[in-house]
Amino acid sequence: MVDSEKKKILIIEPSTFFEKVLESNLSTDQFIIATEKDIGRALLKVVRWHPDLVITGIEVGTISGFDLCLLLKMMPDFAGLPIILISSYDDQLIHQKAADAGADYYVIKNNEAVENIKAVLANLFFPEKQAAKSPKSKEIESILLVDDSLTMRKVIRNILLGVGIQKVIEAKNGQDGLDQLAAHQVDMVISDWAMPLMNGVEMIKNIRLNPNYQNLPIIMVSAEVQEEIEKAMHCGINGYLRKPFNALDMKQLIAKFSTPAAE
Amino acid sequence: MKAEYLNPFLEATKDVIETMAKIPVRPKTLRLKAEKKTYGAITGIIGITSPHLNGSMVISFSELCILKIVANMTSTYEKIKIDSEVVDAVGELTNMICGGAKNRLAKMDMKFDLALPTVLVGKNMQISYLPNTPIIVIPFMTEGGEFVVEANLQMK
Repeated sequence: MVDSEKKKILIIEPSTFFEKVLESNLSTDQFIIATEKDIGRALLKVVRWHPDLVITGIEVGTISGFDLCLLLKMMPDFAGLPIILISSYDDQLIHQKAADAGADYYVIKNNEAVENIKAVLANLFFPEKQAAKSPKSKEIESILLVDDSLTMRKVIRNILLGVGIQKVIEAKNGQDGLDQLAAHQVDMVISDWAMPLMNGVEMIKNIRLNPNYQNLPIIMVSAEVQEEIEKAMHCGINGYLRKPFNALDMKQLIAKFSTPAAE
Repeated sequence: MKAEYLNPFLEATKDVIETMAKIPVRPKTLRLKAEKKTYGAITGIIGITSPHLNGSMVISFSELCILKIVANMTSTYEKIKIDSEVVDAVGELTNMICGGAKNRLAKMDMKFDLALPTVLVGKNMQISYLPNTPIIVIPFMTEGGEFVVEANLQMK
């Protein structure tokens, strides 16, 4: 790939060790990597170099990664520049702050961080390759939302519409969910666990009995303990979100199952 | 009741309200409660059972506080009074807070089951607490007003 076709990634990371880990793992013939340790210099670099993606830590001196994110999203030329915030904290408040700052992705610095960032890059820059690898993957445009709580349906519907989902069909329990699924074509199901008449696990087992729905992505949202949700994964769930969650958590989970259609 | 078992409820409450309603929550000094009546205009109650712990957790909101929380959660205007949707939201918040505490306590090897939440509407409603067990009240302040979390838990 010639240099002009390569995607430019700016990494702003206070830890030299993690900076080197990212640089060495992402330096392929598809990407040009630049690094900065100071947010001021990073801002200048963005303006002059026009990167295709910014990966920034949170604790980067007097101006935090959140502030950088806010600043860039307010600058018309860079409002669409994708930003990945990286941090060691796996905390709802930090997730919320990342969402409020306008970050596009939030990646936790753990032993899966590099793979998670690579997955984001693949989805962002090479969607056609992702689609080729996974013929079933497609852009998620319509979602069946199953929750007995009207409040939670409103909360999740607002999040889904906010992240670009075009159609949200609602159902108030597992049986209603099955009925709605039979009546509507959807790209994904998001379901609560504990519901009257038929709970989420029973509904998902029923859905998976139908050969037409073997590859339909299903996400469970629940306040149950993580251990219990993980036990329920065998019933056919593809992913889960623990309540409470915010828009960014939901967006990232949906993005895992969505590949924008290649033009 | 050890203080270390109360912290997960405190943390989960802050986490749930701040994440779902996007308003800062500030815990205040713990106190004990003698009367067996609800504190606020709407109250969520959830029973807790396990081989080593039983009792209940109560979450009670002033009317202004819960109307602000529900408006923020659902990105709509504040309602003028408590209605069925607010009742539904309190049930969901109670479930999420107790689920969050359950998750945190499970990591401390304290496992228990949660019953389905019950929601009472009205101030000074009678609550059936465990006898001879202290009712520990954790008050929280938000920009919309106060709410309390009460722990009435007995170690077996």
